[in-house]
Amino acid sequence: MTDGDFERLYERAGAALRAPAPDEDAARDRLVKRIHAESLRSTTRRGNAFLPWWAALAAAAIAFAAGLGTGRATTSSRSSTAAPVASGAAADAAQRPIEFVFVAPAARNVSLVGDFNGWDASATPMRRTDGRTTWSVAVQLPAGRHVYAFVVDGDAWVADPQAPLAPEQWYGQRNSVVVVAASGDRRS
Amino acid sequence: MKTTTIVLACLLTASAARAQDARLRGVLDAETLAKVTRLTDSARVESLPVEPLVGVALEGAQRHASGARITKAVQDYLGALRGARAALGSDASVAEIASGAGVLLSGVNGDVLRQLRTASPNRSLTVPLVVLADLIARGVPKDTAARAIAAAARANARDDDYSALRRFVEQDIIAGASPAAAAMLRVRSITGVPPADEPVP
Amino acid sequence: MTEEALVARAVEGDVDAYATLAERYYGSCARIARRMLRNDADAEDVVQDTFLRAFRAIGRFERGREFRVWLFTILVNQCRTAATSRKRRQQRFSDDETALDRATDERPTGIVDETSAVAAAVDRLDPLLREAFLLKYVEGLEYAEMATVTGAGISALKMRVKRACDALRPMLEAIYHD
Repeated sequence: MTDGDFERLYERAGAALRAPAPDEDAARDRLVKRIHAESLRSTTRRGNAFLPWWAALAAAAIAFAAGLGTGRATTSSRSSTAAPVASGAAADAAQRPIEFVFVAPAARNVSLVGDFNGWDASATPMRRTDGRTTWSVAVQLPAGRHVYAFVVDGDAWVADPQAPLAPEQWYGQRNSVVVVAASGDRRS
Repeated sequence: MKTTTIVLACLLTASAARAQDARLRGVLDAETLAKVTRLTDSARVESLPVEPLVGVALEGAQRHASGARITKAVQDYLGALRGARAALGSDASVAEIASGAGVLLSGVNGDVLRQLRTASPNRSLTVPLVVLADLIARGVPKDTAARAIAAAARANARDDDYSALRRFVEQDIIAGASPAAAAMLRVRSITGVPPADEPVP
Repeated sequence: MTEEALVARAVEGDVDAYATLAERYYGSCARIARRMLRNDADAEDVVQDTFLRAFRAIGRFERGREFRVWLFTILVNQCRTAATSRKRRQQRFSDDETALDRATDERPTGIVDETSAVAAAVDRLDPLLREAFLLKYVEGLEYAEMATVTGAGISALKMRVKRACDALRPMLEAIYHD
């Protein structure tokens, strides 16, 4: 390879590292909220004794509106899950595809078990992907909280290392929790 | 019209109950089936979520647990669901009640659930409660975890914020930090407690 | 609105203008912090701290300076401080540095894409070499700008970049020629 080839190699690596992280938007939003909160606490600017009254009012209005907007979206989401529970129906009947991924390069087979398939290890076998180190399956789930685990090689029940732990240990082992939001996003 | 609606609701409820019985009948012995069915019937009468209870029984069957253990699990869960609904309010969603039950089973007092509801009257508490239970499961002391989640709730944290908090605390604990310190450190990125001032270069 | 206009308004106390600058530069700062600290949680904390410090000091920002260079100067110092204090914290809690190195790599094992593979290679560089490579090839700074950000001389920075590239070359060749 020539020097020019190597230079292109480094630039290509640099470009690869410019890919945004999956949660970057949410982290950016958190930062902006902190900046606005900081502006309400701050009382000095460049030798001025205080922020102009109109600037402080504007900043307060922005922070208030941001809080209201979030509340409205969440209120509608919450009311959509307040279904009659006596019937046993899922709070939101619409199903959404949720992907489950488990890294187990040495496993011969992996199944997904959970409250959505009767914990039956034969119901939802997972498929090898990504160069044979990873197992995955996509399952249609209604919005709400679901408890699950992986069964490796037919008898080893394993919690998902990437997911929240379910607190209940009815049978001596922990499972994992996935929350499917009404919007269709997985929350873990 | 009202009578027709009530009759239809009853038929649907009975139909759902029969479907659940069929699933349980296939995997539980007769004695355990009878006990679990009494518990799920109690839940149905009290308008508590039934599916989580059926799920616990089915899990026990697939894990080859004894009938006695399965019955106790369903009974304990029913009690926790009752407590969670009482603390969160009668309009709490199924997911909130199930998550709240998990938090109570972690040893947290129902007052914590009430406080969270007061701090976030209009947001779903499902994710905050899931994260609270997860923090406790990873070793964060109950009081510390409850304070951290309550602080996040007061700061109007969103579901993504709670998810991030959980991941960050988990990473810190893996890296050797004490669970309590990790939880209190990471929640500040949500609550906005400012860092100590140092001169800017 | 041009960056010059945004900066001018931010200097005058316009928090919205500053927030817009923060949104524009969040990605760059997050990229640098993630690779320097190799931990998403620490990186987010450091990036937040950087922008808040810059916010408190923006009133003293001199017109004519480049905002990005000034911001990166704060960020690089915050990253160095965080790395030092984390090292002290790790020494208090664990003697197994190998385990800690593995634990601070947040990517799940076995899942390999180009970004992950390149990140893993860059993560193995000595911190000063890694810093120089990131500023040059990821953020595209000129050497004079890098000198302002890092406090090192231009000759020293060119040597760091060369050493970083020499160390990365075999790993990048393996990644891109599979």
